[in-house]
Amino acid sequence: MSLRALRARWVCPCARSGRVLSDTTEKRSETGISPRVLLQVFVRSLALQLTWNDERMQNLGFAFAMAPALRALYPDPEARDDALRRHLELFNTHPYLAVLVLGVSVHMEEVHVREGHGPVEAVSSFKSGTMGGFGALGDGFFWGSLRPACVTTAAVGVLLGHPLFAVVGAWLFYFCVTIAFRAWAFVAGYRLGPAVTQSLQRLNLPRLGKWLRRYCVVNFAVLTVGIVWLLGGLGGGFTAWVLGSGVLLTIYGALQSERCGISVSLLTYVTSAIAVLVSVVFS
Amino acid sequence: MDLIGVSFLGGLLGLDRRGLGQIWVSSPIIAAPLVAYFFGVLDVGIWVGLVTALLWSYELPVGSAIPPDDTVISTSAVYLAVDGVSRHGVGVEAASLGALLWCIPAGELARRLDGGLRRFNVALSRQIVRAGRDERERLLMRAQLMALVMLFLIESVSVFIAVSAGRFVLPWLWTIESPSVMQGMELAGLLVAALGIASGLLVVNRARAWLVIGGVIVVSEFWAVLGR
Repeated sequence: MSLRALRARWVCPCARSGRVLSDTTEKRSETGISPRVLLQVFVRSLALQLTWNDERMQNLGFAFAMAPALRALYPDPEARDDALRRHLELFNTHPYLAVLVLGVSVHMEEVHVREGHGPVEAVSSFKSGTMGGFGALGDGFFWGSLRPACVTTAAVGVLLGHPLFAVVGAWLFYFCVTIAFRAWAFVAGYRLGPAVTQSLQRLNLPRLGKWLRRYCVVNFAVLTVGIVWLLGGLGGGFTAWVLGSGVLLTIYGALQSERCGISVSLLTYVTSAIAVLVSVVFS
Repeated sequence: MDLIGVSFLGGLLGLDRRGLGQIWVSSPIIAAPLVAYFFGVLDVGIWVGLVTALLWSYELPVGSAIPPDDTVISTSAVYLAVDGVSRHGVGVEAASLGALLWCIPAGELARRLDGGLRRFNVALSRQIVRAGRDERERLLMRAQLMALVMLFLIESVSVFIAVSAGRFVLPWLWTIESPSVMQGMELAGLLVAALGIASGLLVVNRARAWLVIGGVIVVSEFWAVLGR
């Protein structure tokens, strides 16, 4: 197989199965989905949640992102409008995984147009069938593991005396990981179609998330040492014991209160008031 | 940077929360130091940014949930804290905490307004679904632009309200000349950081993480006492 053919068939190291859509450039130009159109879809996906609404959630953002691809695939205005209306149905998932669904949707619409088979209802089925699972996956990894890991890394870096480096470094790391993931998800979704879920499974995001959360606990422990050390600066000996116990009580009390539904805003006011009162009474 | 400037910057950064990009520049750990950078008091921005990011890390934007707007809270708190540090000579932790406590309601206001915008978007969605073939795509583009402008206004107006009211009220707090109150504010600042750790522990939800933290505190206390 020539290098050009190999490049045309390559998707990503994770993909072992799935039909590669863009085997030949002649077929791509038949349907009008050029790299430029794909780039437009991807860029529009960055505004997916702009028009989030309580009824159909991400439907407007999804349809907005799909519009350039539908314009390329359906020259007939009536067919294009039918396709656009299809993508105005209820849709809600994690924004970073929504681009994967976008890629798959473009793939399935293109298969339908190019090869004349495959019911278009399959696109809706894929979207509704995966949005819940992808939402949980994305929330657990990106919001629940990667973000806390970056925030705690930045906090530890500040504590160790490298504030600017820590903060910028943490953000850069998060940005690079998420943009790379979104780009991969979109391209893989477009090239593999529904089979991309197998590639996503191989990334094993839940396991990665578990390790990131363990890393967060280590960072929290370091931050706690930092707080006790800083409090020790306010007084040594017996005072350090009292203040250290205060930290322990604060963390334990907050954990119990937040589990009972007491908001963090209220806890912040209460903690501040108690600290000022204790300082005034015992000074 | 003046009041209009910080409101404009807050509005731009706030768009990243759910409107445009979601590349995390709206995170308090970026937004707050960025605002503080313009004033040359980076310490304030980093303290406010980290504590705000930790405190509200537990409130995730899952499903239809809207967390308090920590971008509005952090950008307005930095402006007011810098005012306290540079013009009234207040300590960094005390000024940052005072400003943070003042700006929390602004985050709640922005949250309510965002909820209102989402309900407004329902009307836009219904209009587009019912629209005729020729105008659907045009209405879709118009809806996106409208939502962009309204989201920007929500973020910038919330920052403006918090900062303009804070500029009148907070100087009264900074003029309290009681060392015990100021020391209490510094103590409160560190305890609020501990609250942030608790919030973060709830997010990571690791079993026995609480015991690890408790053990570390006890060991640190021994070290603090014996080391002196």
